[in-house]
Amino acid sequence: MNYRHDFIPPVSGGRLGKAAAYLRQLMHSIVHSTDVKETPCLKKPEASSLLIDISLQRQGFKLQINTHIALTGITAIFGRSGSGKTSLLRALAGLEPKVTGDICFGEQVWLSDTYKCPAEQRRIGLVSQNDSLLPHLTVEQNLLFGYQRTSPDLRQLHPEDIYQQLDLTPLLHRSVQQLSGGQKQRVALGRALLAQPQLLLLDEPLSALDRIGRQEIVPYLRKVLIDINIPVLFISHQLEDVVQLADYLVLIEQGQLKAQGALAKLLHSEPGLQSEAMSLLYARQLPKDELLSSSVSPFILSAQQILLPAPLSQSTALPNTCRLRIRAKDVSVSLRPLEQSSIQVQLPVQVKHWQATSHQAELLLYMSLSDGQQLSAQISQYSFDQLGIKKDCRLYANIKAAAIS
Amino acid sequence: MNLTFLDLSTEDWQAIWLTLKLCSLTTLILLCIAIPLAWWLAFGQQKRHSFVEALVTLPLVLPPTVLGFYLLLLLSPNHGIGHWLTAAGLPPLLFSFEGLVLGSVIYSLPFAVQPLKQCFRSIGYQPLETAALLGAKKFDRFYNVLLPLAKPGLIAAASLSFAHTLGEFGMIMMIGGSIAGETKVLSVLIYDHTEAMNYDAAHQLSFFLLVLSVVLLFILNRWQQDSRR
Repeated sequence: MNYRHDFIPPVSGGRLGKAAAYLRQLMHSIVHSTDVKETPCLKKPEASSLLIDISLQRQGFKLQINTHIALTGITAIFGRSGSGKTSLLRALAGLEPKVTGDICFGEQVWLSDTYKCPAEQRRIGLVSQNDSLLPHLTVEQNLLFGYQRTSPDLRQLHPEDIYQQLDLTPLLHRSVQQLSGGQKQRVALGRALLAQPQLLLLDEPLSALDRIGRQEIVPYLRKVLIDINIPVLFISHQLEDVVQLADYLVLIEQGQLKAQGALAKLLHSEPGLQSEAMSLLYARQLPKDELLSSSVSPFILSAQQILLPAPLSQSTALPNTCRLRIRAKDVSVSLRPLEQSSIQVQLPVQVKHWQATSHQAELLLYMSLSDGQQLSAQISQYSFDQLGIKKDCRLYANIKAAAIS
Repeated sequence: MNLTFLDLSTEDWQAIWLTLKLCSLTTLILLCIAIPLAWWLAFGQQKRHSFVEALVTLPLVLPPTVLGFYLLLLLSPNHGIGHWLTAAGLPPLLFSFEGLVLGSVIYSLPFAVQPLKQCFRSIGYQPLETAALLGAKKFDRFYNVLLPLAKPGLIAAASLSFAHTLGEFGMIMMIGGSIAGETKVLSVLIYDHTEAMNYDAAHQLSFFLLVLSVVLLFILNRWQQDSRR
């Protein structure tokens, strides 16, 4: 945007000159205050989409993916090691010379039979699992490498803000070799963001880190990804990371697309995905009441107001919405609401179906809430028979608030 | 034997100047050729890569006289390249400074290509891919990422080519002869002095060459230590 506020003639000297200078300054401050309000970061995310129809032949391995991904918030690409996740990501980034087919990002054609958009023009931010910092540059030079190469009118994220958000200021003048693994990944994330990407690719950014290293990046990662409206593709082979961050899941197996959809749904329809049965529910956050103690926050879940211990992880796709991860073994069911119980969350549900688990005496009960969200409970065969559970019968699901994360 | 330190004649100085000119020019040309060639060899795995690799390494194995002999054949006015050159009205390369430069470039090629190739392999594709994703175009990546990262390799390639050209003798005798101011470099002059039993002069120059080589290799080593740090 080009604001023209230089219509006040440049008069120098004298009273008139001072007045003109003052006026100019005033105009400047007004224009810049509106600038702040119009920061594009604060706008609602524009839904972009990724159309992929590619194949890539390698020795003893073939990647063949044909899909359409609506990119809102964080989309996870999940699969075992060697399933082709990284190849897919590299193909998207324009780093695989042998890939054929079509890739479109929104209106932009990145790959077609006749055209291949070079990597440097795709404006993709990549944070990979291994150390990708340029060793001949300092931390600050690394961070600004992409920023300096983007045209000024595309710059929406600025160094000072990113340094502050990712806590990078103390590292700026160090050499890259002096950083720990977690710090390196934080710098790589900051560098990718400062290149003003239109799509952010995270290729197992946590896998090479130990527990301390993870603690150095995970909180920042979540904070930044929620604040910044850039679509994210997050690659992982660890469901734990996926469930913590993503709302949408693309499942890849042996170079092929196996399933894709909302994570909350796939957790139920693809039971092989997880070692421990789990559900993901979305609850809308309500404005905090001053009478409430600071340890709990009010939420709306399935048309019912509940209190949950704060803080919970925010959804990147839905505004003011938190994600509740609930293990099936932390959910019990009853025919009537429990009275005078420590259970804080009691939700009316309807039984959809059930299935046996690896444990003989237990089964997994799949239920839907009144708003269509799905919840699973792990109960014993004995209770199942006692309660006389049938398909479509109505129950109450009871969840200990402390078990929600 | 009476050795006065560096009591050099005009002829000696002429040879020293000519040698330094030859070495510098050869090194400069070699760097321009070796950087793309080494990059191509570093990541290629096909048959043509192995073939070119063998050709590049050949001067390391062949006696310089053999190399010189074939260059002599190739450049002589009655054959191949020499024939075309004379037909095109260009001066013959044989027994000229330009011919020596050509010969030296071929002779020292492996000393420029090998260290660069190893260096490029250890750098790998990743820094360049990273730079590309951050918006750096081809030349930008080459100049601001590859060259600074390849500094140790470049220093090694340059100084080894320089030093190796300094010690060239057999091939120069074959294609350059001993023309003062044109092809009579230090190594040839030392040979001439010795032939003429002018041992003092030969010793002076040999000592000069010895000191120069030691200093050169010492500086190379220091530089590499520095850039490794």
